[in-house]
Amino acid sequence: MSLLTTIPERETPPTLAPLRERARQALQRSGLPTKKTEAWRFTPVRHLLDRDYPKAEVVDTSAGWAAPGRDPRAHFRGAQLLALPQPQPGLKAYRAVEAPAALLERLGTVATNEHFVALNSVSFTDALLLVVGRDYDGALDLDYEAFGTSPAYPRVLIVLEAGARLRLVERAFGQSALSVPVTEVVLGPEASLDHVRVHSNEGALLGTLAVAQERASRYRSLVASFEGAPLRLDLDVRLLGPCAEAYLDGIYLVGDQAHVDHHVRAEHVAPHCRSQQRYRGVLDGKATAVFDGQALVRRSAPGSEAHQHSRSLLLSGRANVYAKPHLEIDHDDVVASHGATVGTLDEDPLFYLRSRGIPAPVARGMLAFAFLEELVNATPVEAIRSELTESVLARLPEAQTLRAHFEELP
Amino acid sequence: MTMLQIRNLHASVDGKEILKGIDLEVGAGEVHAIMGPNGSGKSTLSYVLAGREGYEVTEGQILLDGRDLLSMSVEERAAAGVFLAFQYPVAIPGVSNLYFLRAAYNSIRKARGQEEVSGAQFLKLAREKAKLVKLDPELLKRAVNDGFSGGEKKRNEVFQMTLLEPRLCILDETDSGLDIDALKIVSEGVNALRGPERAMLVITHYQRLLDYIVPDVVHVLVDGRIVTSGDKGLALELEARGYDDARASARNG
Ligand SMILES: Nc1ncnc2c1ncn2[C@@H]1O[C@H](COP(=O)(O)OP(=O)(O)OP(=O)(O)O)[C@@H](O)[C@H]1O
Ligand SMILES: [Mg+2]
Repeated sequence: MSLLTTIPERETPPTLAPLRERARQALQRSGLPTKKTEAWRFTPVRHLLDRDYPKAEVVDTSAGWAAPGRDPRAHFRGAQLLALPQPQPGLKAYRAVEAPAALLERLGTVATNEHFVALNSVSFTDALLLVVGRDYDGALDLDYEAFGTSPAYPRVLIVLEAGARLRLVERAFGQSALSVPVTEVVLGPEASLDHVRVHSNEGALLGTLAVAQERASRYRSLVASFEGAPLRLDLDVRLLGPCAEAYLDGIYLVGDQAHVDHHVRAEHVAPHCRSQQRYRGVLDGKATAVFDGQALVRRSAPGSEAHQHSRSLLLSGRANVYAKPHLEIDHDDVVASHGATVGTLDEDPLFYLRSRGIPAPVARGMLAFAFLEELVNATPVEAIRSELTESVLARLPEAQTLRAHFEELP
Repeated sequence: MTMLQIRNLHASVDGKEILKGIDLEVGAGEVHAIMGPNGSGKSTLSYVLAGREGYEVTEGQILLDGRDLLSMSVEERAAAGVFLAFQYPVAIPGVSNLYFLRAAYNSIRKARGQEEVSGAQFLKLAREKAKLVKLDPELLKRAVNDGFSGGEKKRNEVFQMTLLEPRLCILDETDSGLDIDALKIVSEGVNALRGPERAMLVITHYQRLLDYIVPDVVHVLVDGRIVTSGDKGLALELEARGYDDARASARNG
């Protein structure tokens, strides 16, 4: 059965019925993206939609999943929410069936209800709803374990109350046919979220991460993508309250036939907000990357500052990048910059390294590593830095040698 | 014993012949200075020795310790002992000086079949050598040449040379950009490296450097050829009279 026909009839809490209904209508109206949908021009999904999927399979929940010593965490295996974080002071976690109605009603209010978000909204089996209060200052891990041959629709809502702070690490890993995760985030006044999201799953992932920011909230994000079969992430940030800040970094490192597509959007609705996008990617083999960065400054947003830069490095002549930065500014009182570069490694540094005895393939690896490492070093969540560094090293040519060269000096 | 032997070397860049038949022999332990007007081909010669791409050797031969340099890759030459202190060292953002140098040091050791050194061993060595050329230890931690002043870059080149202990040192205008004190310190660093196991080519425009690093032979390169050679007195003569005589002899020769 093709994707749209696998949508199951869900027994859901009545509070969710309006969301499901709106989503169903949106799907009927706009359907799923086609070749002609502008935002999906470079990432064709036809083959994913037409593929034959079995009905949702039962997940073995007995298999161990817990990695000891990690932060409080939630774990999706395929569509199933296997584990919720233990309750802690200031941290509340619910499944959809047990969540308070007022919280459930916020589901679907952050992400734009169309295409794959709508598909997720009609299809998710379980949702994770988190509320972080001011008295919680800690970390949280959120795992999306790709699993099985039927499509999975993980759904998450995270609400940071006024003044709350959270370090969040999302990891997509494992192997599956298709995963369509949607994460919605609300940052209350003066809340602060430091967020790293890692894509290293095999199989298709079409994800949405939508963030709504209230007054003086701060969002720092790093997206790191290492696989793409294909990978699509729509990162949508709306600055709704004055003086909110969003720092959006991203790295990708892919080879072979991988396809990664990052659509990053920062919309300034309130005055005196600041957004910054910095994306860097390295491509090898026949990989393809799309970077579509948008900064929108509305009439209602004087005193905005919006920056956006993307740089891609091609290690192979057969790799491809479509980089499209756009600024749309409806106000004069704005400081903005944008730029996109795509290039190969410079000959001069390469010659310099080689002239000091470093073999060409290692020298190339070192330069590619350095290119990404600048953003890895700026990770909003320090605890994940060495894990990211290792993920980058492991995927570069001459990984073994590079590891030795970059092993921390005493 | 001859260490470096260059025979009838012709080289072109973008199809334009720059080196037009160079013959040069440098013995073990010797220091040869190369002087000559702007654009005469000094840097080109150093790049050809180091193996830079885009510099096409159309004729001639280069032997280092009897081994054919021209058949080796850039990194193989470095392992064989070639070191070029660049006239314009390039900045490499994101790669720390120390990590870069450990990679270089261990790569060369590996290529020579020697054991690689540990981080601690390397650090000790690097600190020692940095002291020798009075390189600010802060510069070790910064990205390679990134934001370095002109003089700091040159000092960093000599620091690397001291650390890698090459067979053949090529210094391309290492003195330009150095202040008077730095010139002295860097020269002392270079002099400390002089010895029977090493040969040096020192490219410079200024006689002053040769007061510190006293050469065994001075060559004058004009329009891609060595037009005259002599002892260090030649440098003094050039300082006084310029390159006109050398140019004239190039035309007549
Ligand atoms: N890529 C290139 N294409 C064309 N000509 C080149 C190229 N690179 C160098 N040249 C030319 O080769 C000649 C020799 O240059 P080189 O840099 O070797 O001179 P030099 O003796 O080192 O000069 P200086 O004293 O100014 O450093 C110059 O005329 C220069 O313009
Ligand atoms: Mg020169």
